[in-house]
Amino acid sequence: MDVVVNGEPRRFEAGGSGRLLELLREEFGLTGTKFGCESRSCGACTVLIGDRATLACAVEPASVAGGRVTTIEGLADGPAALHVVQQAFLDEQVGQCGWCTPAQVLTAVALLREVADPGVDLIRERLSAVLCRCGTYQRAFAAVTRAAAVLAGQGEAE
Amino acid sequence: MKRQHRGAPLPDAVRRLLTNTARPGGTAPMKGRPPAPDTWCDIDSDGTVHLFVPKAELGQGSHTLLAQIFADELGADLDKVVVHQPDTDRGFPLGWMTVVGGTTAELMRAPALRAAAAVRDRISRGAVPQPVTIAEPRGLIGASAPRVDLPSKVTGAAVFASDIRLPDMLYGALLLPERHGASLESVSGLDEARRSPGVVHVIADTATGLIAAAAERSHQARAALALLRPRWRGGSEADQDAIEAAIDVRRTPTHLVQNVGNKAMPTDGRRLTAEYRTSMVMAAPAEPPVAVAEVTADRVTVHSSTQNPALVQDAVAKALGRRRRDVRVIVPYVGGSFGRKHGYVGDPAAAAALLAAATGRPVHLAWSRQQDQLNGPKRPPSHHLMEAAIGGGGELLALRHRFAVGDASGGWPTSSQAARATDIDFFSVFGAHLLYRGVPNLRVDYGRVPMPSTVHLGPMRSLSTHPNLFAIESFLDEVAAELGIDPLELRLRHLTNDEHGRRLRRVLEAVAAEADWGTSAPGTAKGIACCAYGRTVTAQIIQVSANDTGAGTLPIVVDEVVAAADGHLVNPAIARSQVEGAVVMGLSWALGERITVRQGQVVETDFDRYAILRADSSPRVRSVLVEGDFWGGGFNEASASPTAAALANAVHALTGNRIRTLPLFPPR
Repeated sequence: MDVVVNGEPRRFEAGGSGRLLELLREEFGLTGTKFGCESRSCGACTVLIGDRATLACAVEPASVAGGRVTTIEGLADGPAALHVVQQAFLDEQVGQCGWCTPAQVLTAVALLREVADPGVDLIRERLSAVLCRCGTYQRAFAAVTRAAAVLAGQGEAE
Repeated sequence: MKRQHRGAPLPDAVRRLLTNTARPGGTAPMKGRPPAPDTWCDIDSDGTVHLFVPKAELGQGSHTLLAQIFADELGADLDKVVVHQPDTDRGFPLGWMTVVGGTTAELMRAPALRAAAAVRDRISRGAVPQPVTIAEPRGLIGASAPRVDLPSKVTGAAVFASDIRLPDMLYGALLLPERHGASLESVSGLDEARRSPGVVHVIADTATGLIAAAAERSHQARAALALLRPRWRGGSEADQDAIEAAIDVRRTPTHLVQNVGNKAMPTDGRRLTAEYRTSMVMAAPAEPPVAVAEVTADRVTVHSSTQNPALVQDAVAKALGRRRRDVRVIVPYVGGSFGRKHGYVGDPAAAAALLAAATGRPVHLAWSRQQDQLNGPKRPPSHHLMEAAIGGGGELLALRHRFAVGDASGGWPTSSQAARATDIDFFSVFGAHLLYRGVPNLRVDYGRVPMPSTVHLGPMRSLSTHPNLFAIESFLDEVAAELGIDPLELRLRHLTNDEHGRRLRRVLEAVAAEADWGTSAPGTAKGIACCAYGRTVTAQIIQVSANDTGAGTLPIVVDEVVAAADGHLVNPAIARSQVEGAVVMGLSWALGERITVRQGQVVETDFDRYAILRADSSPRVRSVLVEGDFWGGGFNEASASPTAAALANAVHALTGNRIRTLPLFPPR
């Protein structure tokens, strides 16, 4: 079966019983997607399927056949060009252990693609899908707010 | 009649560890000979400084702090420094490689400065031709430099032990007993498991209780284990009620921990008593415990998510019958630990090494979340009796804290071993001291409750400071109410005018000023608490309001936490982030985290039942960094500690309800 991951066409065998999380981490070597609970409650394995934030531990690979998956590795336009949300997370110095950072970033990217100016309540609600044991929440709120402002500014400039 | 303590007093070494908030200067003595200065760095021809550090980055920012310290003394630009992960082959004493107690910067500053100075001198004498331009110290210490680990953490390039990928690597899985202390009697279904797709090896060892499989992919290893039918014998049958009944200071022999004034509780005047209890909680780091092992004829290499490479090395050497020096342990980025990955029990490295030795291929092995919740260490439950004597003029004559704690020292084979000879788990005594030395009589007694066959207890972030301060600092507010004086005023009035008292006064006054103590917006209330942990002092004020919207499950909303801290300041931005994060964990433990046991089995096996604070309930946290006169300790443990009491005091101020049990709002 075929899937486009981070812009690259990839092939995988149908019928395996592993989840998308395992396909990404073990087959494709994309270890930026993390794991942590196997019960859909920690959010560490969040990836984008199309533009939607989705838990890779809960998805059968077959269901993404023919689709488009973006992991944290595919977010930047190149090593020197971080995505606005990644840059905002650096500017606000959000991460500590960094385990949930990719999931926080991708959750924010999905939110900002859906709602340009989400406001803090919606940011808090969406980021609640990702547990951060280091407690970086308020910095993550600031980063997403900053990224929304940057994206709005870019929109006006265009 | 004066009560007699039945056990021995605390050993001096333990007492010093617990009461050193006013000991100025320098660092605690480090075990092990300092290595040659160039153990710390290699310098490339283009001027890049490769900094080799003894301690793992668990998220606390330590690699940035060490880079700042080293670069400052070397006279190098921080952006020329590349930090390399700790590796037992690099030549640091193993004792330096343990990460505990938020002490990395405090303990490693002097050795790093000395090494950097030696390297700088050799370069400037021309003894070593190096391309580094030596400058005066750059003022890097004290600067809010950006963290060196975050660029790779936002792109997914950061490598954790979980992310190690080696050629031909297999993925393992473990089958652990669901009851603490169960032993393995027999296993059937082995043939089926070994024939299962992708499976390369299955271990089922009744002597050690190890059941593990290695396969081409991790779901195949798990599927193979699901075919096994293990028979476990024995194991805990404890129920929550029995555990709580066992933790009872009235029925526990106690040790004298603190005795000031040396008088019995006065019997005239008023007397105030209250009882407090705390529940078991977990560290629950985001990345479960994991190891990748590679075994060859003469060498074993383990990539481990650990705070303690020495213990991992030891466990792997023992499991394989190798010499310690043939086992190399590398610690990539650790996805949080908070005490969980202390390396002694509940670490997968030895099992990974056994699978690797049996298959001749590298093996990746992680615990599942459910396994960690069931089998991983819990902070012990505690029971506290607080007592105050008040004189006829309304003066506070005596304070007493008697408490009993489940023994967590079984999970820790280091300094507590000496202490254990006197029946002390000294982790339990952290934060137990009464800080208000202006009160004429102070007395603290501690009782250890051994629970070896009940549940796996272990030390974690802030040790017992969080539960101890919940009792002490909540009770201080009860005393203030009884005396009719302001809780902050009561605290300030009973601090002594020595360095200890002055440090606490500074953080209390700083937090009060920042949080506008004494004022409350309508519908809100504030609570205060303070803390001494190691060489760090902190004070916090929490503002709460009623949960009018009905959103979430809590009856209150935590609006804001203001935290003042005086600790070892190398990078203010990192210190602030550590304060913020520790406050969130301290709040999470206080609000709803609780481990319960039914018939020997932990009930809260996932994050739906184990209620860790999420973004939508997370408050604003503002920090005030108080400049101390000497090197304090880390910010990340002390700042989790007073939070429960400050919250309970705020809840009381808002609702009139004095909650004396942690968590304050257990999930139903």
